[in-house]
Amino acid sequence: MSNRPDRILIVDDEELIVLTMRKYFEGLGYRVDAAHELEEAQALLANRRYDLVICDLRLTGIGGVEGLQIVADIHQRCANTRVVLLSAFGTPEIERESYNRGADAFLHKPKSMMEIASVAMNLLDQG
Amino acid sequence: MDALSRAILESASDPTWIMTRDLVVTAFNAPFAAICERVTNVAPEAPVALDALVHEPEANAWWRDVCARVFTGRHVTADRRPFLDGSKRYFTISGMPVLCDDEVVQAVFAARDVTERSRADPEELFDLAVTRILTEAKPLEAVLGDVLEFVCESDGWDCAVIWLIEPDGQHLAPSVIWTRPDIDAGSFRERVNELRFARGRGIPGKAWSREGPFWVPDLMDETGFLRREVAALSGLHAAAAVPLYDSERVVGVLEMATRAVRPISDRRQQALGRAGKTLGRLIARRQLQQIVEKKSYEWTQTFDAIALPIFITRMDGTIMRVNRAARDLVGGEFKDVLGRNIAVSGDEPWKTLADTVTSVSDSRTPCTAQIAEHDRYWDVNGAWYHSTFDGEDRVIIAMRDTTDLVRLAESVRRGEKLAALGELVGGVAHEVRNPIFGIGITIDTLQQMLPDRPDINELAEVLRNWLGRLNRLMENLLAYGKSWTLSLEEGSLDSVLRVVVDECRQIAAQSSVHIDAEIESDLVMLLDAHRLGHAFENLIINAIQHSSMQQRVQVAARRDGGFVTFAVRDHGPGFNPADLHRIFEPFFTKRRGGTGLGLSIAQRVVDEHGGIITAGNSPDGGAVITVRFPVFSL
Repeated sequence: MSNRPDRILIVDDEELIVLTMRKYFEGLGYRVDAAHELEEAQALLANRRYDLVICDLRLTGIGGVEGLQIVADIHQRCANTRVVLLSAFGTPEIERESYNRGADAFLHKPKSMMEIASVAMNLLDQG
Repeated sequence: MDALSRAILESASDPTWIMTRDLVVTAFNAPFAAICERVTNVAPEAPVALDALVHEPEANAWWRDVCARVFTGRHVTADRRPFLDGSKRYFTISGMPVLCDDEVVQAVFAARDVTERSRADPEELFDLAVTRILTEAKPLEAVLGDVLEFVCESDGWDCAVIWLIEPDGQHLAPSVIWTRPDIDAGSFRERVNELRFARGRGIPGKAWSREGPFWVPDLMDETGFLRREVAALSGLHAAAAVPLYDSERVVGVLEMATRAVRPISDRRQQALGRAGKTLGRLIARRQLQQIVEKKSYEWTQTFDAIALPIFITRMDGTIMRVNRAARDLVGGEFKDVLGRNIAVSGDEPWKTLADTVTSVSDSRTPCTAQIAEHDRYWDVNGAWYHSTFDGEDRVIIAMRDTTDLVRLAESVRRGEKLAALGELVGGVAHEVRNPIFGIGITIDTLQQMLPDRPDINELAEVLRNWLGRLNRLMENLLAYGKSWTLSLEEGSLDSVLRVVVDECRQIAAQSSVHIDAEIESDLVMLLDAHRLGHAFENLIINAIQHSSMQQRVQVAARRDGGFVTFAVRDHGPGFNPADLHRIFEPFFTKRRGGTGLGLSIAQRVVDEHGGIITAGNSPDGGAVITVRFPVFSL
């Protein structure tokens, strides 16, 4: 880890999950931003460089896969930003697709915070 | 003339005379004299020339023709119908040559008055015969045989053949042959049976092409007669053939032959022609009847072949007709069933059948009913129709065994119910994932924020246990609700199982249950690792959940010939034998907090891998679940 704490963006439409994850990662010493929808996330990503984005696959109603869009955007614009996708609905096809678009990890909910943080830290360590 | 000849001549009761080659009557008996006197009004005196006795030219020519035939050495029979005393008499004239040194020097003639016998002329004879065709229930060929015999015996023929036009319309083929017993019937039949006549060929073919009678007074005089050999063999001389008509269509030819040489009069020809029409019409009708009978037979066969029981009853329920399926339903022979009332007993299905007949009879509208009798189900359809055959109304009852259909419908309903339920629980489970996740990470975050509170940590673990249980329930519901597509790949069952056993050890440890695993290596087969793992996990967790503290759960997997077997055994109470047949049913559970889906899902996964899963109890206690997979490879 560099001197400056890494900056993490958490994207999830569930306010309570964003709240919890933000507290957990802040507790680990990271700087955390949060977004609840695609456009908000895209706006943040346009203005600031993040070391890691933890993003829920679905940000709207049933069947949404907005997370894939975010993965693609990041892959094109900020090559150094790592992306972890989280999903409660992920199928093997979507998982494959997200890796194709440049996701660094795809985690099926539920996962413990320790598991998520472990994946996140590994990715950040890799730089 | 010697005394013997004279005595014989005088003893004959029929008019009899002796004639020389120059057509002079040299001797005769008293009946001859009497007839001559009646015809010529003069008592004849021998010798007397034929010309002196017969003046009328047609009659004179006829007699000369007959005599000429006799003097060629043949026995001739001919018909003659003179008017005597104002009424027509029927005579059969026979002429027999008297040979001396191989030469016919004279001939003996006799005239038999057959007026009474022949009062029925050929047409009438045919009419009589035809009446028999109508009244006898014999097959057509047998009846025609009788007709031929009757005609031949009555009209003085020695053999007769009915030729019918073959279906191709090109040839006449013999249908029925009749011969007098003294004819060499065997060889005659054999030869005739081989024959076919085209139109215009042979005597039958000529009658066909002329569409009228055709006759040959003496076959031996004819050239091109195809059956000369046959005729000679049987001593046949005269032959006649008449076409058999159905309306304007020739359907066949009646051919008759006799050993006598027999000129045939115009009148007889005409009579035979008319008779041919009657006979032809009746043959055609009878053939049609045979077709109808054949159709009726075919229909009966069809009726019997229908697997649905069908009853045809009177309006009062009297069974008039049943097919085989209906007979089998009643039991017994057809004769036992017909005439009974359809209310065979007060039990089903008879009660409903009888009710249906009553409803149809009363309402004159089609009725339907359903019967559920023990484990069998029937749909009953009743309708009525008016029988044009006997003018009575009938009820027709058709039953359809819907047992399989009902069971299938139940199974589909169950399947649909489960699928709908599965979809619902799957949908719900999905939505439950996020809250479970939320609770989980909240506990994690709380623990992170309160690292020095062992009391909080303990409670956090309790919460995590509840969450774990909730999560497994949710995953099972999801797995059950999912419409699965299996992705089989070559993999090793042992590595799938080892991962699962390791995960299960943690769960087992929470209940202080130990897992003993004996897993052979390289159990390679086609498998879907994710699904199979899920199935194994369900089976092992099920065993853990039925174990008490410190008990052991034994897991084993090994190769067994062409199979890979997996077994999990616990030392709990075992399955209740009464429940064994239901334990794989979805939602069947006896355990508090169980979803009843674990074993059901395992069974489905095993099924999809082509395996067989069985459940039972070990002789020394505890439940055993065994799975056996055939080993396929790509």
